[in-house]
Amino acid sequence: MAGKSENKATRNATPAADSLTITLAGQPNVGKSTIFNVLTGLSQHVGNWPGKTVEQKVGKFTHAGQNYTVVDLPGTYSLTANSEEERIARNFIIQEEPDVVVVVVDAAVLERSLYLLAEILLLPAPVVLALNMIDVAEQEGIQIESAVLEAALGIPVVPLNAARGRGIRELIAAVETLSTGQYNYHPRYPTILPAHQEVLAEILALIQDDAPPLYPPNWIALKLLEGDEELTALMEQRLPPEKWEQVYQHFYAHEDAILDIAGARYEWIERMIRAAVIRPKVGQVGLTAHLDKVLTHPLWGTVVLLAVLGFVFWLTYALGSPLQAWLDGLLGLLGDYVATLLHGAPVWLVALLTDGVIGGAGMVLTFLPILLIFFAVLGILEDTGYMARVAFLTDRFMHSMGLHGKSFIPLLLGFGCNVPSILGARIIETKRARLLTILLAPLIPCTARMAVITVLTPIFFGAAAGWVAWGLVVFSLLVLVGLGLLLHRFILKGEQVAFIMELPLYHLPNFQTIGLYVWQNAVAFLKKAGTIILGVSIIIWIFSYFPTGDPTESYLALTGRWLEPLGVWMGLPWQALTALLTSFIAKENTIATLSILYGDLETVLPTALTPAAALAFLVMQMLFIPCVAVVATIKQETNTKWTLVSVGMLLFISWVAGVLVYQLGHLVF
Amino acid sequence: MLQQLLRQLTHGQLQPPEEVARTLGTTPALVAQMTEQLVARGYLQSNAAQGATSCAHCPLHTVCNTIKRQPRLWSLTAKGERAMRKEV
Repeated sequence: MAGKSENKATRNATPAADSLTITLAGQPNVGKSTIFNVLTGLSQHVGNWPGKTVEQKVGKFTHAGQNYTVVDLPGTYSLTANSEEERIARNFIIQEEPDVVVVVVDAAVLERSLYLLAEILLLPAPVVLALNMIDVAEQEGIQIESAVLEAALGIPVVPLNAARGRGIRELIAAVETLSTGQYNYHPRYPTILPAHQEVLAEILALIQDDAPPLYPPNWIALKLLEGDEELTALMEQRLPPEKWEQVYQHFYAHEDAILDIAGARYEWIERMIRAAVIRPKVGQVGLTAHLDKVLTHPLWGTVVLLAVLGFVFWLTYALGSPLQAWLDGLLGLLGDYVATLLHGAPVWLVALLTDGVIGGAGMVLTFLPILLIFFAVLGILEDTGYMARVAFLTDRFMHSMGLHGKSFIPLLLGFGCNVPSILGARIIETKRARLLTILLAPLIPCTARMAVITVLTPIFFGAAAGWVAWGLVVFSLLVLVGLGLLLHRFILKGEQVAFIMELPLYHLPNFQTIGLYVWQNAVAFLKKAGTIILGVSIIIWIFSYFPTGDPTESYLALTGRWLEPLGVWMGLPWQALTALLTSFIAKENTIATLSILYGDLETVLPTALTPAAALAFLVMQMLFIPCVAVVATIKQETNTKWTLVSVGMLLFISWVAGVLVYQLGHLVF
Repeated sequence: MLQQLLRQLTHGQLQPPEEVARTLGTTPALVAQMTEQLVARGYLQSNAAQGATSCAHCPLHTVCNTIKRQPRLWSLTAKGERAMRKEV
């Protein structure tokens, strides 16, 4: 390439008669435009491709007395005519017959760019490979032996750093050498299976005489076998019906030939990469792989997962409980202040505000610090990339228990909320498997259930709360697996589906992301406290206050006592059973109801329930029927019969588990 | 190589692209590219395309915020399963 001054002097907008046409092809964001700008400077025209809305850039430059016209093709990932850009790119190369096609690739991710090269090599135009961003590749420790790659590909290969203008002279020299026939151009193409080579030859024989002008018949035959829709439509028009019928029969018999044809291209890419690219042995990927050896290991990964879960609860309680106690004190002062302020007002109104609103919904709000810490720790785990490993480990665990297949995704969603979990079961094709997933989904501890457990365990178990909460989550999952095993044995037979799942690289957490995650969850919690929980608190208070003002003689007590025989087996009084029932509206209502019925949770609740009964209550809370939203979704996705089965089954399981835990606990405590 | 990748999904468990890449003797970047192509060709489906995370039907969706970033997963479609059965 000539010096800058020469370039400026010789660039002009008028095409020279002896101009050589260079076409720049490549994926988006590989630096094609940079090369185009360096080559053409101000001598460029930007418009649209004829009849299209895709931008067309054409420029000119002169080097060593030779005029060049440069056409920048739209960025494409392949030439399969899936998009307007791909159609423009391939039609230009075929119909305009450029003198040289420069395929620009990102050297740092060479393997991702070579598929396009494999396709362009099949077109009737000489190709130069421009290894752009070679500096980025080198910074990442990737060494590309361009001479080896050139020998392997059989085409000129030029490393360059277009942003700094390095390698541009060599690129033009390569174009010049190739266009003047001085280069021994013998590209090596991917090869396909002999079976498909035969059918390719047969299709070629059928279409050869009817191929459109300029289109290489062997290329058309290959693209037809790949299932290229544009060429299929074109050839259907051009071929006589009897020939088209024969071609169509070949397609029908070899509809999966694309797997072989495209697969061969990937094998070809792999060979090229193996020959010419040396990758770093250490680095971020290495660290991730190293950590994953432990964190995704079936045994050690599970041990770490259990330890992490325990740590999450320990940290939540260690930091959150003192804050909650402080807020609880403030709430007591607020209640006293309101009672003083309303001196002289009707007794029921004072009781409604102090016991119903402040004691119910207000008490739920005091647990906000505990939940904020819990969400923050979960956010950190998610942002560092660890949560994806949890999903990975869970799947292995479920596989070993016979619970696998497409149920995995919906069940995974259930940790957030059981509603998307049940809706997610739509992805499962078989009705029985879908039903099984819907029946199991409510046993995944959702965020709301976890919040209730996080709040109640320290009240009952003090310093041992972390261990208890940890055990409850594990127990809940074990029940799910046990039930899944039973149902799988009788309902879900023979289905086994594997997944590829992206595991992100581990990285330091971004505190802005975590802050946003905590904020969103806190806002959602506050909204719920201000609407559903407040509403239910008021209703519960009304039923617990009237007709006499004494909760033990209230309508609620009357209903609760009717349930008492069921609670006797678990050592649970009617207040606890009522709290469980109100969790049907929203799980957090358990706390509000207990607070209304018992007053100060921190002091009264541990005396009202023995440790065995408290454990039975928490187990029931984990396994009890889900909230009304989930039940409504089950009804929507199944029918009344299966909704009743689900509710009945969960009532039975939670009651049996509660009784067992209480009876066993009674022996221990 | 595409057939080998699909075959990985006819048996076994959840696999990260790195493990698939090791089995196929290639790089995770190439596995990602092959996966995209197999999705485009209808042999694989991704969970993102299945719309499994919709909360729109939930009566509590206005007071709830549980949609988290879901990991991306790919599994065989009916077409993919058919292709693998033919191969056997």
